Amino acid sequence: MNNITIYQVIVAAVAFGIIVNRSVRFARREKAQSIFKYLTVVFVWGMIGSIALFPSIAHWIRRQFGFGQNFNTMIFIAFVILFVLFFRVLAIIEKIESQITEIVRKEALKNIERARSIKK
Amino acid sequence: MKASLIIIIPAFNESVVIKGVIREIQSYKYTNIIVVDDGSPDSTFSISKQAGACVLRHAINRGKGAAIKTGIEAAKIMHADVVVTFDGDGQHDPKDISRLVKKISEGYDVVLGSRFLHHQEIPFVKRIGNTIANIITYFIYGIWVTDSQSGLRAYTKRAYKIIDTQNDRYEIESETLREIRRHHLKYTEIPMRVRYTAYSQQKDNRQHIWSAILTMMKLIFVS
Repeated sequence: MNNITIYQVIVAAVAFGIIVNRSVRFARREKAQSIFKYLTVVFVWGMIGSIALFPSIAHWIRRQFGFGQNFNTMIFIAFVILFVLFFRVLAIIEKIESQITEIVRKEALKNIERARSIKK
Repeated sequence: MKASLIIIIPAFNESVVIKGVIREIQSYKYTNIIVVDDGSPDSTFSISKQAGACVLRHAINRGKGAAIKTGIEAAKIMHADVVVTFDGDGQHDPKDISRLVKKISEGYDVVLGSRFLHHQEIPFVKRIGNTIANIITYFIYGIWVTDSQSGLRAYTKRAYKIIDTQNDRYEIESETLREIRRHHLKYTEIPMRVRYTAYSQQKDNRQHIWSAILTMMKLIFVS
């Protein structure tokens, strides 16, 4: 806990704030708060806050995964995972957009009867 | 038998000009006009109806690509022989429709209007944007055209039935070229006249370079 910088305090405070906020919302049984979402938020922000306050946790994880001194490999893998997740989310959004368009189109085409009188 | 021709106009917030566009097309004796109002909050729908077009309405805005596809689905229902897509902002000239259709009757499956096959006043930014889009289209789809973003196009029944586009926004112009290549459709380009008015220039929903790059990324990583 020696030499804690302002950035560590800010990151930890933000993480704590988000976890408290989500916990309150989950406790209120808000519709959008599933148990999976809640646990994911607690885990991710809990890790961020913990590593910000205790950077030695990151070194412990590094040793457990056998990366040795190569800390950059961990960062690289984290970026790859984020990149994959980003495009996965993008693909899901595209699919939902496409489904919305199909519904809108079907509705619009209901009005085509008038146009059926097209002349050859 | 004279082939039935349907003109599809995708329109979003075009209440200022849509009546003039429809009337001008009608003055050339084209009566089968489908306006696809893409969820406009203005009076595009009612004005188009008053002007005598068949108007289909998207409940919410889905983009030019989605609107064109809705128009083409309508054309399928009505068994049109030829479909022409025509922009709703007044920049296209209905005189060019007969030239598109003439090429179709010569045996082409798809005829693309091109702004760059003859000399005319086109803003520099649009020239640059179009050149970049042409190059991207060529590298992704392997098909070279002089105006990959032109909205004035004609399709035979065979072509519009097999062309399958998925993108809802302006990407549809490039996506159509992919389909032309995929299905080995016979295509050609003809010079078209374009009228850039203060109105059409003001519209902020034109495709720009960033959109083209985003399209490329989506087509590579998501599709």
